[in-house]
Amino acid sequence: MWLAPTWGDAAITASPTFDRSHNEVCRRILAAMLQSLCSALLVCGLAGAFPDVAFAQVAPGMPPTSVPPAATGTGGEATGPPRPGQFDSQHRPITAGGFVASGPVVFEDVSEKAGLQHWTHKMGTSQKKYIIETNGSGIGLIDYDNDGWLDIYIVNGSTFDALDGKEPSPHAGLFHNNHDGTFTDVAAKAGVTNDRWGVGVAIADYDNDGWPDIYVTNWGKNRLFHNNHDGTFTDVAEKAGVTLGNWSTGATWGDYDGDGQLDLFVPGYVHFERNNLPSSGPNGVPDTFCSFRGVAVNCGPRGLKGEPDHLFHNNGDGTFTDVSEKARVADKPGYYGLSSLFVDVNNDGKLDLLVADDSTPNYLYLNKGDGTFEDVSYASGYALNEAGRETASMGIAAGDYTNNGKLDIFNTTFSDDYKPLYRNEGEGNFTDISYQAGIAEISVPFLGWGDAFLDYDNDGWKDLMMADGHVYPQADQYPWGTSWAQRPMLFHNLKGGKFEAVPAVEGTGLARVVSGRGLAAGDLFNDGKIDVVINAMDGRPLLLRNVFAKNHWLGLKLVGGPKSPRDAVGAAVYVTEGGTKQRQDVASGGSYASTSDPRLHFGLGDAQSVSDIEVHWPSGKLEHFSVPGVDRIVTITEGTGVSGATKPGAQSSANR
Amino acid sequence: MLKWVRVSGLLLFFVCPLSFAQKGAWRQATAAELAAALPSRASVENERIETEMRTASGIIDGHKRVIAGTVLITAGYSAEGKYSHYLLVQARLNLGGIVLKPGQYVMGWTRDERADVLKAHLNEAATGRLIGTIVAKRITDSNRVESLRIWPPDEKSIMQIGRFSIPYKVMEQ
Repeated sequence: MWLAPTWGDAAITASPTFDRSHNEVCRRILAAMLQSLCSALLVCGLAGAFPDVAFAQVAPGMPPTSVPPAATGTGGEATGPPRPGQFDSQHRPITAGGFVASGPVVFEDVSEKAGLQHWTHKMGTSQKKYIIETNGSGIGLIDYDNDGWLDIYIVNGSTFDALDGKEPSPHAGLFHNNHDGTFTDVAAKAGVTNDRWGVGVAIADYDNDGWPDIYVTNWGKNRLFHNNHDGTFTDVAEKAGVTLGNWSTGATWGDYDGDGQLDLFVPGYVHFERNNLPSSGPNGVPDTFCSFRGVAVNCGPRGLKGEPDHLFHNNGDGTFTDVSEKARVADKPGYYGLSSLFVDVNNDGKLDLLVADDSTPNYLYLNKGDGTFEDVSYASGYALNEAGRETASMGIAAGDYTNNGKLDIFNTTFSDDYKPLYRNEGEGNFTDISYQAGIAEISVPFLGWGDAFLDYDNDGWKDLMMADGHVYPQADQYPWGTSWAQRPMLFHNLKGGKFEAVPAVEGTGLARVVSGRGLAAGDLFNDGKIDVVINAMDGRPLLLRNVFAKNHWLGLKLVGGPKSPRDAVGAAVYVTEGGTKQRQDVASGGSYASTSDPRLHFGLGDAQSVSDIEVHWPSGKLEHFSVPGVDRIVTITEGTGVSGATKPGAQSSANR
Repeated sequence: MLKWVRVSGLLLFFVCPLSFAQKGAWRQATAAELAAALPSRASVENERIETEMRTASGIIDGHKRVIAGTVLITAGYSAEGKYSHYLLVQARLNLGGIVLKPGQYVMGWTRDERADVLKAHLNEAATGRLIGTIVAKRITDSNRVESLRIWPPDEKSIMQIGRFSIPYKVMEQ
């Protein structure tokens, strides 16, 4: 079809004065000739004098007509009749009801017993007049004292009164695992209470000293709590150069340039100023962006200025350099970033970057291997859902739910919208298959936040879980079929094809109705069952203990060698048993403002052994390992091998 | 260069009338052209709804006639709002079997899960009057998603919504 390039090149040769721009014009003209040779030739001779591309497109002898102005109307607000409300038999919104009397009990709510219910999250007032009061905070699972048991870091928010010194600042919690099913808040002693308007947490060993550190994002300056190896931390964010200063959200750690040092990506949400609070009106935010279903609510994020994203390169000396522009991940349009994740989506051994954006297109940046990224958001299929809608993306879960060696992505989104599941088609291409997978319609009334792929039943197929809760308290005042507080959702993976919702049995963890935000998953009791912790807006956290899994399992703690990050963030691991090859990746971040267990957990079904463990280390090294048995957590060290098996803790089991 | 022009001229002499009548030189409209043509707030029935201009797409011909559209910002992030897209049509258009006169339209869709298609409905923007319903089929040869893309007729002659497409044909006046 395209014949012109040869002609165009010939034109350059024949006419030394025909510069590159002229050539480009000619190419365009020649292209147009294929549609309309008439208009092309008549203008081509004039191209040098009129290098305007559009020039060639004007049909000769046809006077341009003015574009009819669009009609204007008066007043009003945005339309968009929402989905019909879904209610259960007791007329409760399905998000706060729909329970069943009996069924499989997956999670037991052990928050009270574990000692977490003495801690309360607080963010703004219950009226939620401003968007800064609505998004809530995250959870980080961290073995901060290297005792082999996961501890829990819970980010807290703040209030305007606290900022003004009129009331105490809400404290973040660091819950030390007592190995007996209980936890003790040691945040004050450890020096990690934050005392700022806390949003997210990303955990990793950024200085490769073998001790995990904590990065806390805030509205305000962020903190980097360096682990002092003695149960305390020191905030080194200023010295490290990673404080930023406005509204940072779900950060992620990853060694994008392969130098063995973990780099840090920090999404920005809205640029929010205390002395310029958003309000609707002629001089403020358009009314449309301050209403939901015709009801006045807090303004934003649409209509508000976006806060840019930042990539910090780890200099290896305790400092970082902002390379956002150079790496081409600076978020020039100012999309509303909420979560991010470094992970290798195209299996080329380099960490790519996902950013979940609220009400704006998501980003997928492919790592080019030269210190820069290529924005393939639209081309990959990840920017929008399958129907072309920009979703209000909150959290990212990445996992190989089909066991084909490629990481799929699940994003949580707003109510009235389904939650897209992006199937990895290879080479950085994704297809939203939420409807085909059976999780679209059922997820519509829920407003999802933290999420994770987790194999709750250890059958070897990764399931999906998300925490839910609305941002508008008004949801409880109108028959919208949704609610401020919502139950979490768990979807069972039907062997890589469809998912089905696990029923919320009354009295169990899945029937707990809270305004969920951050979610982290991990084996908190070292018993081979994946548990879940949820940070609830203005409420008590949930510790949902897995009491369901019966199958065999294998836990892996990875330690990187000299050329990899010490905590092996970025490693991809394939475990083969029978004819199944599962994949999991060591990552930090993803789930809304949260970090899950850094150890990898493989459900094995009936298998009592694994035939191969294949580790793709961040350094590029590929190693195969074997383990003496399953139902244990083993440590694998790059270049060294397997050591230190931990079997389910007797104390923990006895306490159940 | 001169030789090339002469050759082109000969070709043109024979092909010009047919070519022009058939295609009218519709091409992809530039961002500036779209911004000039599409409203920042679309009048829909008795309301004025914000448009998401970064999603605007369209084609333009030699008469500066535009066929373009953009996503409407509907309240509450609704994926299946009654109207999701605004369309400005300045030349008769057959869209998925429905002939649209020059005018302003709005479009919404619902997903047919069984058929794996979008069922789109076209309405007159000023009155909300239903013009008709059309089916957008899944595009299988590309992963690229678009909020809205009206491809130039010499390339694909489709309107793409997400990963679904509706064929169109610009009708001669």
